[in-house]
Amino acid sequence: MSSAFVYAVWAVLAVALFGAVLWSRASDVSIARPSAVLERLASGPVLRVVLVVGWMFAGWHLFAR
Amino acid sequence: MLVGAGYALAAATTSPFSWQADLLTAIPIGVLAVAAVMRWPARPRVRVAEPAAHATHPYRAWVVLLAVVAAWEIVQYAAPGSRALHPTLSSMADAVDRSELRKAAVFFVWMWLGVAIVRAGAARTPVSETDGVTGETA
Repeated sequence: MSSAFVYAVWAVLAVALFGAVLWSRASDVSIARPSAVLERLASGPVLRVVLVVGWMFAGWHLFAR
Repeated sequence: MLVGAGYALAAATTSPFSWQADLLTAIPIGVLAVAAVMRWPARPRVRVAEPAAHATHPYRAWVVLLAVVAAWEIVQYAAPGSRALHPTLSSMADAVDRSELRKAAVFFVWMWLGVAIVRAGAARTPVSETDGVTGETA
C-alpha cells in the first residue's frame, strides 16, 4: 500500500464528508444537518459526555501533547 | 471573535510539550467544562432531527461515514512502516501545524467547535419551537 493510495483514500473521505454536509442542506433529504447531529449528540445523557471528552482529547492531543 | 482569533494566534506560537502549550490548551478545556456544567440541564431531553417524509434514519449516513474514517485511521495507525507511508489524522494535523497561521486556524476552529457543543446542549424551552428539532424523552 503506497502513501499515495493512503492519501487518496483520505481525500475521498474528506470529499464524502463535505458532500454529506452539502447534501444535508437540500430541502427534503434523508440526512440530518451537522447542527442537528451535534444537537442530538449534545442532548444525549451519555453521548454528551463522550462528545465533550472527545473534544478535550482532540485539543490536548493536537496542541499540547 | 477577535479575542478568540488573538488567543488562537497566541496558542499557535507555543510548542507542544511545553508548559505554555499546556496552559493555553487547558484554559479553553476548563472554560468548556465550566460552561457545560452551568448551561446544560442536569436531565437532558434527547433532541432528534425532524426527518423528511421518506427519511427513517437521518443519522445513518453520518454514522457510516464516521465509522469508515475511524476504521481507516486505525488501519493506518496499526500498519507497519513509517508514518509517512501510513499517514494518520494526527500526523496530517502535525504537518498542518508546522505553520503558525494554519495552526492558529485549527486552534480557532477547535475553540469554535467547543462553543457550538455547549450551545447545542444548552436547555431550550419550549423544545417544540426549536429549529427543525423535536423533543423526545430519553
